Amino acid sequence: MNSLSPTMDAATGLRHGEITRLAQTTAMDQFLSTVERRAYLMARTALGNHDDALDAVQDAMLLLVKKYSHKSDEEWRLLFFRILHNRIRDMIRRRMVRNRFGGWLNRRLGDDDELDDPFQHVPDVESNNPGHNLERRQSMEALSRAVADLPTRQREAFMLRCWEGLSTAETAAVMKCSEGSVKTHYSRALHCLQEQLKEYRDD
Amino acid sequence: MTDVEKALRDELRSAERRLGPSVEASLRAARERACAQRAPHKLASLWLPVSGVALASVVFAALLFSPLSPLPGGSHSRSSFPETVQAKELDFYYWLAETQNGLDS
Repeated sequence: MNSLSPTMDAATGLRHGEITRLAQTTAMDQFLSTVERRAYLMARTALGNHDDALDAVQDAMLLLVKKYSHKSDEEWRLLFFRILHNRIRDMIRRRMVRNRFGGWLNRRLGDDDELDDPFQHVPDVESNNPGHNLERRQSMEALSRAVADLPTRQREAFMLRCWEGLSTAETAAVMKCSEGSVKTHYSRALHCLQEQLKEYRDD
Repeated sequence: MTDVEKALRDELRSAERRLGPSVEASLRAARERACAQRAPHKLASLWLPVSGVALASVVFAALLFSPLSPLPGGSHSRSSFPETVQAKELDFYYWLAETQNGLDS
C-alpha cells in the first residue's frame, strides 16, 4: 500500500510543488552561473570599479530570482540583462548627481578607484609568455577603456549586440527603444571602437 | 558578423575566462544568496487572498451577530416599547381616575 498522497513523489518523498521549485532553483542557478562573469565584466566596464559592479550584478540576480523565477528559462536572459543595464544606468545617474554636488569632496578624498581599469587585474592563466601577456593585457586595457568611454546608449548597444550576442530586436527590447535606434547606436559604437583601437589592430 | 565584431567579441569573452578567483568566489556567493532568496512566491500569493477572505468573513460575522445591530425581528421589539409605556400610562390613568372619583365622592 502506498502511504504517500497523490501529490507526493514516491522516489523523493517531496511534494510535486517542492520538486518543481527545486528544479527551478537549480535551473536558475545554472542560468546565473552562465551569465554572471559576463554581467560582472559588463558592469565593471561601465561602472569602473569592482564593488559597484558586484552590487549591480547581485541586485540583478536578486530581482530576477524574486520577480521572474516563474518565467521560462528563455525569458531569463533578456530579463536579466534588462535589469542589469537598468541598474547600471541608475548607478551612473546617481554617481553623476553625486559628482555634480560632491565632486570637490571626492577629489579631496582622492577617490581614484573610479578610474581603475576593469581589466587591469585580470590574471592571464592561458599563457605563461610574459611578452604575450603584456601585449594581451595592453590590448585588453585599451579595449576596456574604449568601451567605457563610449556614450551610455552606444555602450549598451555594443555590449548587448556584440558581447552578449543578442539580436537587434532583443537589444531593442532590453534598451526600450526602436530597432532603428539600436542599429544607429551599434554602428556608431563599432566605428568609434575601430578608430580608437586602430593601433592595436594594426600591430 | 564582421571580422572586427568577431575579434572584439572573442577578446571580451576571453577576458571572462580570466577573472581572478576572488571575483569568481564573490560572484558564486552572490548567486547563492540570490537563489536562497527564492521565497515560496506561489504559496505567499495563495495565502494572501485566503487570509483576506477569512478576515472579511470574521468581520462580517461579528457585524451580523453584534448586539448593536438590529435583530431580524427588531421592528417588533421596537414597537413593543411604546406598548409597555402605554400600559403604564393606562395604569396611571386608572389610578388618577380612581383618585379623582374618591375625591369627588
